Amino acid sequence: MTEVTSLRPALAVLIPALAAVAVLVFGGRPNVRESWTMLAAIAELVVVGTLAADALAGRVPTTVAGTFATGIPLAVRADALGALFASIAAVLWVVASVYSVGYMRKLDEHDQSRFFAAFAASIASAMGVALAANLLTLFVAYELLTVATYPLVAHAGTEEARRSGRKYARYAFGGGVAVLGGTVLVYALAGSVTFTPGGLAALGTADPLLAEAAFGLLAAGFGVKAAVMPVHGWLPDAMVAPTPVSALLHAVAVVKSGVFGIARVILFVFGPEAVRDSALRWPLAGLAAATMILAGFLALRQDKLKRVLAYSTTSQLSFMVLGLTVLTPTAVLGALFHLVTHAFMKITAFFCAGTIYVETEREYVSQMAGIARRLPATLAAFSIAAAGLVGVPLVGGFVSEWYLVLGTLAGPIPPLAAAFWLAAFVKLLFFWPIVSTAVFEREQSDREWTRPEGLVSEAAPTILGPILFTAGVAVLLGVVPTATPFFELAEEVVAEVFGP
Amino acid sequence: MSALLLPALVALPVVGAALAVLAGNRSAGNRLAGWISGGTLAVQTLLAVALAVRVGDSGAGTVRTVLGGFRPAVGVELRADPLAALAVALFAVVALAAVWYANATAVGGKTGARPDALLLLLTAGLSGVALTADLFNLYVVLEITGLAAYALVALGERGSARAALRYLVVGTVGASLYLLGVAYLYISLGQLNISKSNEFVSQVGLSSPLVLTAFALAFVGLAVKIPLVPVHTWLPDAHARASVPASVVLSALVTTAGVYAFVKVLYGAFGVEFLSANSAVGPLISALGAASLLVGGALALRESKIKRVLAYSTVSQLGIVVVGVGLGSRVGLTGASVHLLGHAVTKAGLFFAAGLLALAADAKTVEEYAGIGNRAPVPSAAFALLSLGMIGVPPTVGFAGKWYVLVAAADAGSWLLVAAVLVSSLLSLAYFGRILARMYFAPPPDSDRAESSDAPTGSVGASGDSSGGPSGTVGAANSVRALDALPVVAALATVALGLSASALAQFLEPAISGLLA
Repeated sequence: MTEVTSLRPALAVLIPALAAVAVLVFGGRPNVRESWTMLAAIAELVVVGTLAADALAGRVPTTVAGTFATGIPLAVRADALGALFASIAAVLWVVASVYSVGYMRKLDEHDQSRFFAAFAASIASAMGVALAANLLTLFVAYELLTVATYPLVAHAGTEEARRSGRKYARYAFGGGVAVLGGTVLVYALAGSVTFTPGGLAALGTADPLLAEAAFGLLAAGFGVKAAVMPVHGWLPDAMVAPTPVSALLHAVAVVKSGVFGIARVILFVFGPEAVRDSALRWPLAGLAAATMILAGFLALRQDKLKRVLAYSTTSQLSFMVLGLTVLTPTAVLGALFHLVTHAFMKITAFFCAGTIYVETEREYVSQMAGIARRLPATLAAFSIAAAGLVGVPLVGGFVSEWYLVLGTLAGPIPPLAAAFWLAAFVKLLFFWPIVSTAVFEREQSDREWTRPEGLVSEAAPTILGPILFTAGVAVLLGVVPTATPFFELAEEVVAEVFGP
Repeated sequence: MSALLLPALVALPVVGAALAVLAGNRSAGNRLAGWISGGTLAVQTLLAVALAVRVGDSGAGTVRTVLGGFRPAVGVELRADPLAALAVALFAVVALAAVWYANATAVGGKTGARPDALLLLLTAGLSGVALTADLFNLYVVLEITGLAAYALVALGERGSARAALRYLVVGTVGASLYLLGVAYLYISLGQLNISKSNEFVSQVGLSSPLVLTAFALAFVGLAVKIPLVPVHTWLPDAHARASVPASVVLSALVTTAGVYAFVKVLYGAFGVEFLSANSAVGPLISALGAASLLVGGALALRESKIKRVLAYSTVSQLGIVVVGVGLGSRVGLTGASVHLLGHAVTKAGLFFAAGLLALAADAKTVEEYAGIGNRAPVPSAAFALLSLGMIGVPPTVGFAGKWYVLVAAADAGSWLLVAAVLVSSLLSLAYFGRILARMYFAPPPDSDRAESSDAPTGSVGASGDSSGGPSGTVGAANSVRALDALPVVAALATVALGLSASALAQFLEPAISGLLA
């Protein structure tokens, strides 16, 4: 692993940031505005693609943008873990951009310029989180992510949206303050906040009580965005945002920046050794296991499709947190790969929910009867995603959950593996009724929908295309997981941290 | 030339003030006074930059001038280190901006006293606070600053006379206590030069009752000026009732000078040895800072007038600075300086933005800010960015200062102070957050989308003085629109300063070392 100076990591952060500016400048001309978004998304994909290639080849492109306060560098670099997260976000940004153009135009939403600008700014912040070279830079990006996503949650401007926005800001900034406190402690104890595979050595010799406090603050702060119970309450309410936001940000970029933060803290700040000795390790694992199961049961009680998906996300995120705290190489590999597979499956599910809303204006599970006859391809994609989330083989979710379970069985408390099974079973309980209602039940209403003359009626290509793509990738991840660069990157991270 | 630089920085604004009065200070339509004050402050800014360059160049990092050629123990010394140079430049630039604002918003035809001369006099006093190296002289310049400030407050909106009177009484009591402290110190040391006092204090005895009494008096006097909780009560009225340019200089500059005077007295005159000999003093100062931090933040939450929220936010933010001052470490003092500068720039921008929003949309309360983001986009965007800076969202300078203070507190093992600073971030988030949420995501009070709960405020906004808007010519409207540049520049400056916090710390290094020597 050698560091090479390169402007590309900075570029990966700047492209979406500049896209946000361009979107605002060209706000009055929607076609030009959307061209900028698409252009930026494609450029971003290329840049991040080369970063991932470098990371796989053992090179770490690094940009030092200057020195921040107290001499800590403001630096971005693409190591394997950073490249992993960045490439998920980059791939899905292209897809989500296509989808959101179709979605927002079809619904004729208000304030679209603000929406697309904030969307691009969120991606820029997520890239900053992914590529941050030290804890302080990560904190900067983590806070900016909150700032950039707040307008998206409150977008509708209704009383409900503003209340959810306030709740989101309270939780997220509260978590940010905890992260700041933890970062200050780490800096005071270790004199450095640079991410180091296997952890900062100086933290091992520091006052154990203070080190525990730092770990607790960081885990709690990142736990907010990772929606670990009891600080998950903002996520279901944030579903008031337009669907593309729920899909990319509240299923992928934002919530995973929380998981990513926990991964950085465990693997690159404290290191597996120190975390294994930490008194907070098993409480954190316990919370994660409880979240996995309880969120599933809460999902059972929801009728609004997006809230069901939100609770499912809450549950899935804790899969990764539990994998990271179990801390066997296999479990960590599973957790990191689950970061990828869940992203593709959940974004598919959200896209489908959005399509159903756009095409039929229905958002409750109880209204889904007969939807499959109207939107067959959409429902097929949804079923694939749901199957993957439950853990059915041949979809990506199975592979990552397989590693998680194997890793947990090899870990110090094998019975924890039962939590994965139980959580997956509960998922089956709430996904199956959705699919069966949509496929097997007939619409009750008197104005029964009849198929028009054409062969298949479906959503517009800008809406359906992204769905089929992400569902396809989810299957690919399940059939040939090891052939994907994502898996190689995850393996590379494990090798860096635990040794070959 | 260089011998004249320091005296010129104090004398020039005084001369300018006199000229501005002669040019017809009483008539609002008179542009000459405006040009004189603007020109004076522009020259002052250039001189301050020249001083900063010179200080940055000189090896020791200080430039000194002894007035009248007397030996320092007798004569009055002016002395500029990087911190002083930065402060003088800050005072000149912000005062210049305030003069511009005052002149651009003075609608033709109205009569009334103009603030030009007072702003210049204030600048003279402030620059004196930064440059003087003499304890009695510090009293004099603090009083010049104070008198100009009292008069500026009295020029404000309805009720400002009462606020000014209160400010005057409290401010004079504070100044007198400080003078008494200086007198005690003079009795014990026999001289008043700040940098020399240090050695004398250790000769007299670091914990001798005389020295401690002198410190206590000076401290209480300056605590009123800063202000620290619990002697902050004069501030919200004075700052909120003053006119916008006056609020800007009061909140951004006068408080800054107060803290700077305190730092000079504490570290310059009494010295770090005094702090280590009396180990309770540093923590006491930090504790008072923490109290200001929390009380100011909590009080800001309860306010509904924007300018009062900003005023309480000043109390809170200065608390962070004082926490850093009390910690007495290199990192702590760096953080205090960075945060002091950052707060000044940010708060000046916020008051400008609030003033422009009041002009553009007749909005002065949190309720009236509903939906203002669409009606006055530029000042609103600047206000939003500056608020984020005040909350301490990175990469603004507000975060950089807070980070230094946090690291200093953690280094000192003062976990309660760390917690207080973190909690204050949440408080500032709460009181700025509710404003920002209204600005962008609430329907305007008088629109069709208004909800029933917002309805009562709509009538207040509508029945406000409709003649208050710029009813003048197109030229007047244009000159007001150009003012949008002020908060925008301030907002950009907070980000630029935040990103260059390390360079700033490096520039200030000699000054911090000098204080800790």
